[in-house]
Amino acid sequence: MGSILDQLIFYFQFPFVRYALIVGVLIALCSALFGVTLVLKRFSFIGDGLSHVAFGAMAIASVLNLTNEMPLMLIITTLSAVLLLRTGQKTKIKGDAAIALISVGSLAIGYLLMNLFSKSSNLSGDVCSTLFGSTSILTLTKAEVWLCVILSAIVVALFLLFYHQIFSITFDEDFATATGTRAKRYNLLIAVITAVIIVLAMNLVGSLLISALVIFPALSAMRVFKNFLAVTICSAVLSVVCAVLGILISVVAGTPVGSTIVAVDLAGFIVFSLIGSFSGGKR
Amino acid sequence: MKRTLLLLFLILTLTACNKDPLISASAPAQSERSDSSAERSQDPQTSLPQASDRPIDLTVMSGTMVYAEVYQMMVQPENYLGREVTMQGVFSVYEGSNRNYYACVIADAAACCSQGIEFVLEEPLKYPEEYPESGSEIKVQGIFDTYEEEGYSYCQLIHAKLLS
Repeated sequence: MGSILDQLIFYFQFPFVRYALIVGVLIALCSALFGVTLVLKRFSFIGDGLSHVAFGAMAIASVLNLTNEMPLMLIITTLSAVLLLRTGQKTKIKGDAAIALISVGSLAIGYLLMNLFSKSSNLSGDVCSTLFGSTSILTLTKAEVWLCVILSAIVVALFLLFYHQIFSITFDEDFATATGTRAKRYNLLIAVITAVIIVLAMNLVGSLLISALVIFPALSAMRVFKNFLAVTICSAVLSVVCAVLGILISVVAGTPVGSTIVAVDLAGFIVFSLIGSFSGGKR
Repeated sequence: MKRTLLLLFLILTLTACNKDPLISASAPAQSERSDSSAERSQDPQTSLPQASDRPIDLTVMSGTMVYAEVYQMMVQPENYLGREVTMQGVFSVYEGSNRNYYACVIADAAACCSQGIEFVLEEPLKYPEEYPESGSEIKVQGIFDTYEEEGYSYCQLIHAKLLS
């Protein structure tokens, strides 16, 4: 135990480890806050779908030789999020099918483009790194950390500011509209914020594992608590704890960061399910 | 209106981000300095907190830390110039037209990416007889340095010794 602590103290001397923890905590917090809403709105898989869209957008940006891929990724991911969340339920292709369609379509096009046009000498490594996060979170610069801090502050502020509206459209959109809440506007807000969280979270866990950050904390909290506020708070705390534990374990044990965080999230879900079973909470 | 402006601010703030593209490296590890990596180099806060002459022993770090630290060496070589580096990895040889390039390559935790550092032995050995077999595990120690070749900047360990 002492040697692990010594190792951690040693690793904390490296700025990139501190940056990873800061960004990990912030992304985990933001994704958990909106994860509850997404899960309750039956959009659990939207993180997965949008991250694949972001992967496709990144491939397009690479092909176009754009130095900064982020703007294109954000624009395409946001448009897809708006399409899925705002209009998805009123089109012929409904929620889950629309997500699946966009998800696999973007993944396939992205990989195809990278194969056909990529100049990288390590294509499989590039793709794998994007899909599974690899060590991306440990390669952040100070500017990127600040960007994440600012965006996370905005996301949390928006959530707190529009908490009541988000609550009402989460449970009954029609009732919320009837009582004067501009449901379309708030759905748009949720869509944009979801896209921002997804693009940021690609650094942390990679495209394939983003859904875990969105759904695991929310589902775990729902095993024990029954009201929206309690679930949201519990989900946020659990998500942050799991992200910190995951990053620390991966740094000490040398395991992949993304999958380690998701494994800790899964363990948290099992623990909360057991607590829920014994305490008579919601199953 | 205020909310619309807030959303616009959100999007505009994101466009300021300048994330490096995917990590990729081929053996022997080379650091082609792109514009973005040059920008990274200007950020002194991302350098190690250790004294500039303190040795870097990558053999005592976990796989994840080693990969991240070698990545930092590739994108910010100026922070590591002149420091003694000890690393353990897989021996790799690239036979160039003018000379052979020998490198110690490490893989990331997901085992999908690899990067490494070229080394030049202090006491040259005869290749292939006296060098380890390509793909075998080696431990190498040398002084971190950079050099220019055909317009590109590369990292290497000079005055290197094969420890195992």
